[in-house]
Amino acid sequence: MTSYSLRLRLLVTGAVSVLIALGVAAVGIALLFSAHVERRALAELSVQLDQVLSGVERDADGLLYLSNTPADPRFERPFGGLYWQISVDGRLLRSRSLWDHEIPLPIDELPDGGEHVHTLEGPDGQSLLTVERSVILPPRLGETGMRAAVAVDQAELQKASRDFASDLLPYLLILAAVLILAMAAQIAIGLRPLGRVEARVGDIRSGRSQRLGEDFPAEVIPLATEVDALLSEREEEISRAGMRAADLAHGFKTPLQAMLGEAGRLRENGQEIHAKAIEETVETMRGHVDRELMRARISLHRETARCDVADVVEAVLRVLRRSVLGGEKSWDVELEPNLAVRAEAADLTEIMGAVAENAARHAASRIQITAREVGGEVGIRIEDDGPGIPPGKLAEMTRRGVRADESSAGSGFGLAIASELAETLGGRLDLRHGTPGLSVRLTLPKA
Amino acid sequence: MRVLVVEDDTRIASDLAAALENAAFRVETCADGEEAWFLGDTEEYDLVVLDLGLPRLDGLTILKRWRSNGRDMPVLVLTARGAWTERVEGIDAGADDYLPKPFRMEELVARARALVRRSAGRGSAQQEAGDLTLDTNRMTVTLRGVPVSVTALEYRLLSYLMLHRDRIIPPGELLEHLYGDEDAREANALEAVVTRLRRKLGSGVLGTRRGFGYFLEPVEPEG
Repeated sequence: MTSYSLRLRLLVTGAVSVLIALGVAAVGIALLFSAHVERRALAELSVQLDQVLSGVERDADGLLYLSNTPADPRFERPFGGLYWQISVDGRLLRSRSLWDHEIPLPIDELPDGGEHVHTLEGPDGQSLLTVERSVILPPRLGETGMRAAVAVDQAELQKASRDFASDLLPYLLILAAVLILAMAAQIAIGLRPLGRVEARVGDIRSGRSQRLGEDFPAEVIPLATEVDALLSEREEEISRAGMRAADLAHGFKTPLQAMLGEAGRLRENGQEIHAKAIEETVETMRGHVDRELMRARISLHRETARCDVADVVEAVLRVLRRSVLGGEKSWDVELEPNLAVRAEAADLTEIMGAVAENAARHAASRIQITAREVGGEVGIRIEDDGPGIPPGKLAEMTRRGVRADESSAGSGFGLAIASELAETLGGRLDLRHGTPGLSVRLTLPKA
Repeated sequence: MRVLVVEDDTRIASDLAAALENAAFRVETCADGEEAWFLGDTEEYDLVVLDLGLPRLDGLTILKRWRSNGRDMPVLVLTARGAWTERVEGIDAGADDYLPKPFRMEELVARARALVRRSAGRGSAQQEAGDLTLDTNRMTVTLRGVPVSVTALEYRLLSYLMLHRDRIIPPGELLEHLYGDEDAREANALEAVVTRLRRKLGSGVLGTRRGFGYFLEPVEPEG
């Protein structure tokens, strides 16, 4: 059951409840109506009985007869549905409608004026609702006991009830439809905040949002708060793990420096081969450490990040212009105004730093940095006038762990790491032969 | 050239000292932040090599204090934390260059030399004064194109005078930069080195002005 939709569950339960409630109501109303019809019929029969009794007279022969028959024409029509019957002095007087049938009144004694209601077999297979009364005739008529009965065919009453039920049914069906529709509307409106939760979670997954927030109905807020607390906990864990990775990486650097010192001493002792082997190992380890440091630093919120290209380029150039590598080179910078990329400033600084430092290291005298927006992306080109890369080696430059220039210490993995970081940020780093030198193009999504 | 190396790892500190001494620098080492700050604030150094992770007082704070106190010697920052944002922070705090660990000693020496040259306003590794030429990368001296053989101490003296050839250097300052503070020699020890150099270079190269100090001839105009 857990896998069915909440909406379907609510709708099915609601609809079944409505149908059961309306069914019970229909049965109840029909029963009430039948009882009402029967009460009305009995009251009417009682009146008819009064009329029948008031018409009893004695004729000249002393025989009792009905001088004044009730007006209802059904008494006169054979099996007309309405009957009267009197038994007195061993004789049976009856309405014309009974024809030769006798209403089989049970043999029981009633006090004077006492009344009984029976359902009895009538003519033509009819079932008769019968009111029977025992009376003592007044002294004028001889004070004899008499049993009189008036009966009506129950089929007429049942027909009335059936007609009522069939009149009622369409209204009940319309009522059911209206109730179910109202319920569906209620479910849709009631569940709408869950749709918002879903959309917000999607935003968090894609990085457009960081938390569910609290603008939900009171019933959803506890869920949203719990989810947000979980997210915060996860972020803290990730950030702690990142910090541990960074500490581990930093911890490696000082021993690596010491190993380079040992390599230097080996070289002084004439063991050039061993010295070189150690230095190469240290360079490789340094590459791995730098790459892991970069990964540990990558921001969790990079989809919502935004940074100004000019600020980052300016900061990187402050460093490089001051440094020995870049201080004596001329830097031409040409940036379109107000360029911003979807990245944290620290990440863009890392990429720009690595690429610009590489350019400064290899440039003869001049480095050119240009940036412009191209179709939803920002392209930043860094060109140097150095010796460039040998033909056919371009692709190797950004491949993992491959160094561009084995002879130049410290420049090894910079471009490969910058390329990986650019890809993590949804961009790329393209290398081309310049005229002369190397031309690096960094493309990142525009903020 | 007098260099202060501030590094708390003793193996690395001694590697640094050895490499810089081989490159004709006069090296003093220090492993403690507070002490490094005090030394840089009170002594005259031509260069400071400063590790950022130090006990008691971190490198960046030391650097900011020096700069806010008007101490403007070139500072080469070493760090295990190589992120570019940290480099920006370091440069903004007043560092002149930045070398992430691990680095090769040749790289360090090249940067150190370049920083010293630059702080004296001399960009090129080839420096000339009159007939005298110093190659600060190869640590060689030539006079009118002819190589002159000099000792490390003699080279240090010549290169200091070369860097500051727009002024006359008092004997006290020269002594400090040749020997450092700890084992400062007598003025006549300096006189002996000058005399040896004059013998190798001949007259008209190394000048003296009584009561003021030494200079390379011809003296360049101030600025």
